[in-house]
Amino acid sequence: MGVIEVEGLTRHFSYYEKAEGLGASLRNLFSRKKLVREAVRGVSFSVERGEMVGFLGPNGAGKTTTLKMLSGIMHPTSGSALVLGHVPWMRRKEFRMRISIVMGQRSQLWPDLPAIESFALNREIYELDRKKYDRTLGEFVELFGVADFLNVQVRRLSLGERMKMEIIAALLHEPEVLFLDEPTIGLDLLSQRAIRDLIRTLNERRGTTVMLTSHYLSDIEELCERVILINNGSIVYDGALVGVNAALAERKVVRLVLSESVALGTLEAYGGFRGLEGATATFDVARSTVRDFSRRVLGELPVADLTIEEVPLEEGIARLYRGEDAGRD
Amino acid sequence: MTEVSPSRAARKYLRSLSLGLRGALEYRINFLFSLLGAVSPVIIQTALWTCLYAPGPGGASATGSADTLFGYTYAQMLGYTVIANIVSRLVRTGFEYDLNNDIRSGGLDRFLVKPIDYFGFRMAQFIGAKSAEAVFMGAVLAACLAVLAAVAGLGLSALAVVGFVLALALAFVLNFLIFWCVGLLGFWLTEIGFLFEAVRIVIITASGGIFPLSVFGERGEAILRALPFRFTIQFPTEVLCGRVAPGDVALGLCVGALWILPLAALARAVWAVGLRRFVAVGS
Repeated sequence: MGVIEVEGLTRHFSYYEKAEGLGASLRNLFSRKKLVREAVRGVSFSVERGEMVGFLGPNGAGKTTTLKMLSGIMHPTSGSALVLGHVPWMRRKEFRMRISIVMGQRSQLWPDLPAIESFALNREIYELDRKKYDRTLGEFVELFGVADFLNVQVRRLSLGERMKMEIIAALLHEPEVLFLDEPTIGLDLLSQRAIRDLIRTLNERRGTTVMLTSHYLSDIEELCERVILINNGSIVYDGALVGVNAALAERKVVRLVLSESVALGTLEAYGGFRGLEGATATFDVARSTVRDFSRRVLGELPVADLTIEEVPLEEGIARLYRGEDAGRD
Repeated sequence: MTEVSPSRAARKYLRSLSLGLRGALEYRINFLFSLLGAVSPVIIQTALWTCLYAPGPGGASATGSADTLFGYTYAQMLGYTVIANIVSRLVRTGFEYDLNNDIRSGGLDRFLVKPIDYFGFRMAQFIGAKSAEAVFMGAVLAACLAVLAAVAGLGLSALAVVGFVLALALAFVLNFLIFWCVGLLGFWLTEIGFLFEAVRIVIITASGGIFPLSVFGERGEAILRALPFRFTIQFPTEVLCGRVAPGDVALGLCVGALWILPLAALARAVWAVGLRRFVAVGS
């Protein structure tokens, strides 16, 4: 059995419709139309101990809602989940001692006090042995290189430094399952890398099971062998990240910078025309025909510049979101 | 299941307490200013009482009772005004904003996933912050009392001081419970900043923080004495002023302490219902 077992997890939110204008506001006082949004619908998956799973999806796809249910912050509307053998939303103490969640946009540190104070509070909250705490903290501080900032008021730290502290705070009790919701959001590249390295180290050394959502595909690419893509509350893909890439490798994106304007109809006559932005026309071309395609456009169109690129992973995933087969012509 | 010794579990709340204490020390200037904010009501009320006690038309002598109004001499009334204002500042809460903010912005999440009780955490933190303020206030209060003794001839007994310290500790707990219940309204209402202030004024008035309760007439006072609010301001103030007989101090402390039970039960119940709503609605 997996460390995380999810079966038919569903979560509805109800809200009220409000039309524009004062009249509508007044009408709403007396009768409101109740609407239901299905944030997560019938999601099922299983995660083995020590796996690192990337949870990807556009905004509002249901990623955070799913993580909240798995960490016990939210009740589902229906369906079941077991994390480390516990129903998360029962929030048993034993469960809470063994998991952790980091939400990139939400701080768990004390802003007015140095991070070390928040760590000390966590040491008591998780009832950690002093020696073990000192050792674990020392290890993380060294890995992250934050020794100089431990005694600085958290509100005076940069976003990157603060996020490192957030992650340290979440890891001091050595959780078996770690949920990370956008841990690198808003960070510069160096900080993103530092955080990724730490997560990888953690997973390798301690076998921590990690579920990670991110807007940055590079996070997922570097850390996770497996991705779950979720869109409109449903899973659209669950499998190896390489699978997404391989399906995309068959396509190339050709960009032409035109030296003079060309009628849209002329461009559309070439297969795979995707759009025109300023002087740049973009085409989606099968790998096998790229050479012929390039020769043709160079001969027939006023081309100032031509580039051939891989289909970005973002785009492949966007296609999977739409339920398209990434490799289809 | 790991067996946890009680001392271990208690330590997390002790740590929360010391966190509140240190937070208060960081913001000591803030507290100093809030104290200065107490100066103008004291001046206004003192002016009002001075006017009312003045002999002549409209003054105390005009109402017939030469030296006392509502059972207080002028000196006692000034003493009450100053001490009640200081006590009211001292027991004043602020965590209801944090509580409300945690509910609205979802900051509550970070506590729900940890093996700590949110109620216990906030309570410990509040008491920690207040104990830091109390030390500082002790000095301010002592200075005020010295001035009052010199100017208005207000006496002070050792018993009154001991009773006051105990009554103040009780006031912290009761006021915490009362405002905890008020703060939990955030589970149902979204914009309640103004409500907090309105409720605060009503509660401070009902606690005797502005006037002695006797101002409300016999019936009004009887009703207010039957409620827990007076234990947050009026009772400690009266004890310090030496207006409560030693036996009644002990009795008052017991009655006040008994109020902890129903209020704590209410606080727990509202929390449980609100939390169920929170995890079901989410944020």
